Amino acid sequence: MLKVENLIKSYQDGNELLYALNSVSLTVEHGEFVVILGPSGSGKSTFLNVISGLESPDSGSILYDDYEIGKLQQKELTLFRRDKTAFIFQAYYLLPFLNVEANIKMGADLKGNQHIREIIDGVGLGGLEQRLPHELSGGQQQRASIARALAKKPDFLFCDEPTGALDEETSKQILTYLKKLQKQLKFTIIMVTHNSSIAQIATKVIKMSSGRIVEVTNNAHPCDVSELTW
Amino acid sequence: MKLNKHYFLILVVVCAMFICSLLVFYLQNTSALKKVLAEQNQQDFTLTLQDEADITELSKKYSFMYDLLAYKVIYDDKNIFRLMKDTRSIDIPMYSEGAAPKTINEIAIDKNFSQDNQLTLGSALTIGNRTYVISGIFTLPDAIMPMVADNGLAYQAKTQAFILCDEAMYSIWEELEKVSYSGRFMEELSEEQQQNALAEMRLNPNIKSIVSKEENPHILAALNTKEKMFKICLLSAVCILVFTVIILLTTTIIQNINETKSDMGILKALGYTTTQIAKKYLIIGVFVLVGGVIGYGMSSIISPLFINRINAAFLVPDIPQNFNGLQFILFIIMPALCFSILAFGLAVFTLRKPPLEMIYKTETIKVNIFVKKRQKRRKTKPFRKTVFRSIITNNILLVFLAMLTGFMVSANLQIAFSLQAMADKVSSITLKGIEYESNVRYQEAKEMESLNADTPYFVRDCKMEFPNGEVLNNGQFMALYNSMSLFKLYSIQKQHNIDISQQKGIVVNDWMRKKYDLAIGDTIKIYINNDIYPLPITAIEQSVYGETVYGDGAMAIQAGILDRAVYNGVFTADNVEFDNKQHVFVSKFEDIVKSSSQQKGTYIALSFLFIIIGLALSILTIGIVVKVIITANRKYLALMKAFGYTNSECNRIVLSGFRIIAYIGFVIGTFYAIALSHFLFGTLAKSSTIAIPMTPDSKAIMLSLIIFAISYELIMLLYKKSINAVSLQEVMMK
Repeated sequence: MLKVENLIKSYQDGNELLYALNSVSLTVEHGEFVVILGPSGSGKSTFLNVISGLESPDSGSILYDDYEIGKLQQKELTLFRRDKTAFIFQAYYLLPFLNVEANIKMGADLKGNQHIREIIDGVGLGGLEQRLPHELSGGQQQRASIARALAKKPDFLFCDEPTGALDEETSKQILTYLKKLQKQLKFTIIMVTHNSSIAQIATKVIKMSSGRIVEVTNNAHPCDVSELTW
Repeated sequence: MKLNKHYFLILVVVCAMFICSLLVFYLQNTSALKKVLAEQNQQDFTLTLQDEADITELSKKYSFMYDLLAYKVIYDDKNIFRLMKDTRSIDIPMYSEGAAPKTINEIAIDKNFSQDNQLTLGSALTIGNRTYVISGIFTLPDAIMPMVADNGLAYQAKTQAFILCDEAMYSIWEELEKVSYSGRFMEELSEEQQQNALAEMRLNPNIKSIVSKEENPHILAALNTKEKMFKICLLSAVCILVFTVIILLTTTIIQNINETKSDMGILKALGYTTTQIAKKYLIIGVFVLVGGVIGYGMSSIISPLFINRINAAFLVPDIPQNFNGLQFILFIIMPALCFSILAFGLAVFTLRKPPLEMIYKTETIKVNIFVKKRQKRRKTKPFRKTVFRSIITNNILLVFLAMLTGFMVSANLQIAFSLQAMADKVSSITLKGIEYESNVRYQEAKEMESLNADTPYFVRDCKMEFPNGEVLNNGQFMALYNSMSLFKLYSIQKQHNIDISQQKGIVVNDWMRKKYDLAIGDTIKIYINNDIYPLPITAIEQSVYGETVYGDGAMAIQAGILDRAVYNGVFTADNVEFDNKQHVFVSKFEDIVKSSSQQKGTYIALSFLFIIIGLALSILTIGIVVKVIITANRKYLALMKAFGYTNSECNRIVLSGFRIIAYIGFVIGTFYAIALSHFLFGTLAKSSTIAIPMTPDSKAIMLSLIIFAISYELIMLLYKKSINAVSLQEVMMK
């Protein structure tokens, strides 16, 4: 379970103090698919960065089961990320000079995961493992990125606009893979997006504005990806 | 446009500074030497005549001008004074302070003596029972600057003074005058005509001996050698430096253009012309120019320090330094222009690509085709190994630079250590024997009976003719009577002491072997008076200098060189001080060490220069390489961290492999240094009187390796901070 309480994160802008996160609290259960929505500057990316341990909050607590990551030292935080989390980015960030298999090994090696073949097949990249990122389509690159993230067997998968650079059809493919793999591997997804349609497949939808959570909607019956309209 | 990266500016400034410092240093010193040679009107040869010969006739016949080189030697309890008249037209002493003596109470003294005894202008100096005022301080040209002083000791500045005085004072002293002539060919004579004239003079019965400057290893050749060594050392330093700096700068420019390629692509897409975009890179020339000017300024501060240091050993006067416009244009303005043009050209070359390709930098991926092909053939290795291999495959330039770091340290340090080794070997010029250290050597004592004759020797002047037809006029033949003599000869071929009693011929030194292309079994004709003694070479000893050949006393008697077992010198372990009444010649190890330390200082100064340059450039290069790697892989480092790789893992994965490459560079540098040393000292041996056997020095290699390893690891330690500083949020930036 992820439990966030009174999270505050501010930036100095000249003489003015800007609150990117202002007393944000949230609870996410294991296996949930959480979508964070909001306009640009609402603080959703900062929220993702802070709860994933990439950035430190000014105050507040972030509790992962028994871990209070706000109090961890840098080295402990690194180990936490290694054990618990994985990331998917809009720009994929595959290492351009490594083939698909080697990119996936980047995640797998951290956990000593020898079963990358199943993951490659699971994301539909079988036969493409020797290709370099630039030889793949956008959708294939994002699938490789998903495979890399999942190869480290995370408890929490953080996705920052994973379909932001993809067309509708490819986006649906990606979301289908994510949902399918979540069902199999039982991890939690926390996804930042400004595409409100995606909210329909989530179990929990959080809307943010001016650094605050303005609405939390639990969705007991999320729809199937194929039913989504863009 | 992200142009002025701080490391780029530092690189340019520091490199330019080094280039200019060294170039100016080199140019000023060589010109200083030439200037000194010209002003001193150095001799072409030294001449001694038969009693009835007429120098005027000879000078007309062979077209040379001459100057009487006469002096008297005065001993007192502490010092030995060589008194000369201040009327020289050839080999002119140069005054660095004051002026020539004008009265009978005035004298001028040499610079070394004045420095070592804290004597200044106006000070009083007592010679015998008379006291004189010092009116001037001068330096003697090498041509008449003996390496061995008049008492047979190695020249020792503190106790052996050269005095210039006027005619009246000179005539007061009744000591025996030693006379020879300095000769200088007329300007109109070509080099070939001069050589022909010298050859004819050698056959002239009126001439007792003639020593040309090329043949006189004790005097002018010493200067030539020093000059050659100096030039070679500095040229090789400058070559390494210029080569390195060109590569560093070019790499930095390429890297800079690569990093700003996206910006260039955007500008191109917006409609800017190639020239409009590329011309911004001309500014690189300004950085070079600024660096150059700073370097030039720095050199004018550094150079005098070096020149003064060298002057102390080279015995030349202080040289004023002036601004040289041509140097400034050649070494400051021209490189700045060249690098501007290079940067502009490279930018134009990059801009030939479509804007989109530049914005997304897709061309770097093309290289990966090679990686891909290789990966198809083998199983994918763990991420840690694959990622480093991919980094280096994609950036051969970085690999080259990493290799260069090891290469530079290795080459520079080992050449530096070679120079120090050379200085040590030069120091042993007259030591010859490996067990000479604790012994004292007498020669030509006035009363031989007074000497302990345990290990006697007989030495006499001779002329030698070698199998290749060359002749050495001022040679010496030394007969050794005791195979267990305190004076040992060491064989470089057999690596053990030579038992002289077992030699059926003569032993020559390594310099002679190289100079006259000799081998064991060759026969040398020894001319003593009018007799010729052809003797075979039976061994070669290790000395790097000297015109003496050695033979067994019994063999000398058998060959007819000696009638009986006579001696005119001994080696002894007794610590006997020189006594003017008893001895003609005493040579002690500590005297030799002292005299050679002057020269040694120059080479040690040079070797430190090499060490500083090597380390500075290597540290700079390592810094740049690491910086470039981190910059180029910043996003991926952030990604790895976000995934949970620790700082030390990131450091290991991305940087560690470069260590191996740098060490490969070190190995290559070692071979290069060995080859260069062989070449330098080989060249030196052929053109001078010193032959230094250079063998790879394991201690120097180990020391260089340790210095390199420490420097490398320290830099890596510093740069670990850069990796640690890579922010995790960078990966989230779009």
